[in-house]
Amino acid sequence: MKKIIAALDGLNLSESVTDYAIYLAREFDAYIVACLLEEVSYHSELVKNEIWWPYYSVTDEKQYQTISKKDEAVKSESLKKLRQKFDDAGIQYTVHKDKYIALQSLVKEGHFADLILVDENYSFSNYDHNKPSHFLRDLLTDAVCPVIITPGKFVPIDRFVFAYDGSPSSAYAIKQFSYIFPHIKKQEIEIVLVSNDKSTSHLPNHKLLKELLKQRYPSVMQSVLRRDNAAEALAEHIKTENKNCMLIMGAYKRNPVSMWVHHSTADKLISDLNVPLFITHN
Amino acid sequence: MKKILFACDGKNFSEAGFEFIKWLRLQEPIKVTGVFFSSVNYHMLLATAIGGYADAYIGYKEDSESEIKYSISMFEKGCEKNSIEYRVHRETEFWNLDEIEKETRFADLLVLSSAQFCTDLNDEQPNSYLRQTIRSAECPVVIVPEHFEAPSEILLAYNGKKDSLYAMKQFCYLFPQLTRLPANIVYIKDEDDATIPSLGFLSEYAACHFSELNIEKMHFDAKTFFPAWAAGEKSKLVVTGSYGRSGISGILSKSFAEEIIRNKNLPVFIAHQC
Repeated sequence: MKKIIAALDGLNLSESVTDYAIYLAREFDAYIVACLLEEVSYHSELVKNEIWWPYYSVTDEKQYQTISKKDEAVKSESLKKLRQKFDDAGIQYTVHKDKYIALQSLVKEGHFADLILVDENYSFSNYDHNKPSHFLRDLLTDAVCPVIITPGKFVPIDRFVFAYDGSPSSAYAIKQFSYIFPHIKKQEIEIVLVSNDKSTSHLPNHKLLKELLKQRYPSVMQSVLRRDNAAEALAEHIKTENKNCMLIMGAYKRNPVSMWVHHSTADKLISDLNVPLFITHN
Repeated sequence: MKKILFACDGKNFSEAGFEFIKWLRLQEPIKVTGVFFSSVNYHMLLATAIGGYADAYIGYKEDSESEIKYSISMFEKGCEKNSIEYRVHRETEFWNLDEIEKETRFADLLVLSSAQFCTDLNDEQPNSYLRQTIRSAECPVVIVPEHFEAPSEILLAYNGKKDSLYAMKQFCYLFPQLTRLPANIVYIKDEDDATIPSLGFLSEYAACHFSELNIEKMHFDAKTFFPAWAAGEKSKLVVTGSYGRSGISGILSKSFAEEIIRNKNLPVFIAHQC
């Protein structure tokens, strides 16, 4: 049984993360740990002056108190809703609360888990409006276990798509995915060979890759994308042909030779696509 | 179906290593790729060959080819006899890190023998070839000692850090059948008051994966006493992650995993992140 962390924000409970958690628990027999994360300076609405601000006044204190109370109410309401939802679904789960530093707590939880589920819109900040947020970027760099970034809305998965660009990390991602989901019955498997070089369709170690896939999955579809801008081509391919899929790809940042290294590339895939992304680095 | 790599140099075909593969075959169907390479770097003799004494070079090359052929035939016979699907990847060249990286990238497990691997060059294990092979492998490695006995217990070394957990996870992914064996997670620290770090997290994770679980704490110096303590009565498989690949590997050369390899009495499963 695999242990999956559902990273959740009590102030903004993600429907998509909880839906995917239930889906994975049912489909692949997983144990869900709902991890309610918090951040000290993150509230349900913008706090004008924080306590460490030099011009902190009595009115600020009053405002802070009201917001804190509101936060608490929202959080307990979310927890109730969450428990209700998981109980109704009849899955095995537990809730971890009181995680005051969102990123560090989640990375540590990830050491003791097989997978992290997180919403693409989570930032745990009132100020950070980037997409992907700093929180998400740091999580992808620091997490030891694979991370699934869920889109805004849940869609059941019909197909798993591996993106392979010849880098070690993309091969590593395929292996790790197959370990976490060893028995895939209903869904189709597709491998997309992405090459930045227009002139050749040859990818490094193609034969070894084929052998690896053959042992895991009886039938694998294959497509080749040759384009100057690999990320764009990949995004387009997913949008047109695979609406209900999960995209599996290698390292984010760590590996200097990987094509996902450029901020724009990964950002584009995270913000453009409405499919879950399985990302891991070795 | 898992893809296993079995690496041998020259005539040093490892019986014990192959016993381990046979035992894996009992658990589930596997595909084994045998990687064979020369024991001696005969290219070093090339300089003399150019100088007019080609005999030594040719002689060495012929010898090493016949040695490799012997190992390959042993491997092929063994696979056929035990109905194991196999492929031979023949490297007539000397041991080559790039090849190992490439092969391990697309494999699930690499099996090596501590009694045999590159012992013609240095028989004090772990020699530098074994060390570098483990470090550059992109999949977990099992080091099998001279005599292999089917393990009846899994011993997982835990140090509270992410590397030991990484190894534990990779072990569970690769051998889901073996998680039914009794599992013993040990935290070893030479301090009386040392408590097991993140025990709640650890037991939550381990309970998801192992059916018969025991977590304990030991007070002794792991590097010195662990091999003797672990040897015990039952045959065990040790799982550890303490084998870094960092630039400061000098510090790690006296690692805990190496101590077990040096003692040559227990098979060790090593997994590390690159």
